[in-house]
Amino acid sequence: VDQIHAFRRELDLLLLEGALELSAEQRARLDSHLYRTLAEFADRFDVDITDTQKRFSLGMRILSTLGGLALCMALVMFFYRLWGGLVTPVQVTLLIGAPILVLIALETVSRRDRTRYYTALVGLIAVAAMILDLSVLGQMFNIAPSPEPLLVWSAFALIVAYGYNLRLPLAAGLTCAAVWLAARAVWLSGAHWEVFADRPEVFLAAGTLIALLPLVVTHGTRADFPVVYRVVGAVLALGALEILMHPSASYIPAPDAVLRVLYQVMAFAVAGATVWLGVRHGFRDLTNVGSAFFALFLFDRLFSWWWDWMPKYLFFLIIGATAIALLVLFRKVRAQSLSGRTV
Amino acid sequence: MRRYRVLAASILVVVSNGLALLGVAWNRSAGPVQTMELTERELRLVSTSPDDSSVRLRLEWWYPGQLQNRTGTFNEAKLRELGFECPPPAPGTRRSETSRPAFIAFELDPSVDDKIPSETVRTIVTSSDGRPPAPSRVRSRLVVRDAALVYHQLRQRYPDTRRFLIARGVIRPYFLSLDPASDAAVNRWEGSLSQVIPREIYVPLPHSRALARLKSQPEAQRHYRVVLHYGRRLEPWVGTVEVKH
Repeated sequence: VDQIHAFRRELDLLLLEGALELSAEQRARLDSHLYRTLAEFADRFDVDITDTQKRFSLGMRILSTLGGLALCMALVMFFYRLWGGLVTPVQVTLLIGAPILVLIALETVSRRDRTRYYTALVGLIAVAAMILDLSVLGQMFNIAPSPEPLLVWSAFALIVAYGYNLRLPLAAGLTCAAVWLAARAVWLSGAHWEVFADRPEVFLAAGTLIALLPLVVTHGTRADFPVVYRVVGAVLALGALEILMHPSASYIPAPDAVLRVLYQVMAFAVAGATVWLGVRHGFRDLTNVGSAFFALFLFDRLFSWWWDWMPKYLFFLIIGATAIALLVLFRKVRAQSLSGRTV
Repeated sequence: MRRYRVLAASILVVVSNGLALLGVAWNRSAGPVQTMELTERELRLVSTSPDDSSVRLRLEWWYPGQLQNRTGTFNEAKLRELGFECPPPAPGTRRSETSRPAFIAFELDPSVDDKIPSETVRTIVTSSDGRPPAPSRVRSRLVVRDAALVYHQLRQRYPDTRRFLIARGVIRPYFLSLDPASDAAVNRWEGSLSQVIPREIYVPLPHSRALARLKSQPEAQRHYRVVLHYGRRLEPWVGTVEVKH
């Protein structure tokens, strides 16, 4: 649909500039063909064929996400409201039955829902029901918490994501897998697994791996999935570097001062490389995440170095000047990439 | 993928729940490895919102060092025994270490009231959630005595299962530059018990009925006895609950 719209705009321009001439009959035939193609797309895939429809679709996507989250909260609150009044066998049956029932509902909805908004909403509830299931089962039987449920949630969310082509469960599944890896690594080092965030190096590795995965794994018809991989991976890796810039614990046996310098240099290098990769390969998502973290790292450092002793007006002046300098820099990079493409 | 998506996800639900329930059955299969009768002093009823009808108890404890206004439960030697590095202080050396799990031995000391003057008691009560104690809060008789990496090692040292409770816990180490009592430079590592695993003990029906009624009463008026069992995996469950009116 986007290609057809772009073609139409370009055609109008070419006709206006006189670079192309079409007879009235040719134009009418072309318009009729394009209209039929668009109508066929709308009928078969329920895609947006006008800008107004696109804006509505965005609103509906936001609504389905918010609605899904609200329904998840309702499910959790309802469970806790009833919980104390139920005997153990009923509780266990409900816990195991809830995700399976929601899965059946998801299958039914997905077969009828061409727009996929309701499928996305029920998919979110299915993942929430699974998380609730193992969490509450653990609480009920006073099971010592372990990282293993994270792996189960990850697998479940990935099945839902790939089975029904849903992006939010994919993001949840990838995040759970990264947290499980980090928790397991902390546990292997002899520490308590729940303090995995204190040693975020694993997130750095896992995030990089997740971001690079679409380069080797093709996603065919799931055109949105590589974006999710790149964004989740980049946020995990760069988020880990933000924590590592203030080391309190690390797998590397080195003094804090050495680690601080190492990770500060690494943070800027990785954020810069992310922007460069995004610009080079035309991944706008990577460019945005990389730029946001580059700015965050910079402001974090400036705050840490100067906030205590510098007059506040001067501090904010430098922040403003730095933001303008960054804008100029990014504009130059953008211009260079554009000229590189046109050559 | 599309054909088997519901089946694959459902199998995952059933298998993961089944494994969790097998673990519960294994924990309880040989009967309790330790049983202890505790009261509202050691097992505090967790306050929940009206939207939460579940009944949960939280283990409360204290340790002798609190009496001398010392902050730590475990000294450097014990921390090293528990696997912590405790590097000596030197410029540039890291002064933080990550928390580690350990088995904790608590002693149920009935004579605790005779040992501590009542005015001191109010200031030293510690709760498992780390919040400062309310003046009216009753004091736990559970005293932290020891910790080890191996359960059997600890049980050999404290064989009386009615007097010594062994549970899983998490030890948090920290570097102490100044002695809190004298303000003198000490430069040593100390450790404290940051949490007991599991953090809260769920009370199922029918035991929860009587305790649920107490939720609306002030804490000072809640009086009950709970028989707590621990299984092979040191996961507890409630045996009986007796509410005193």
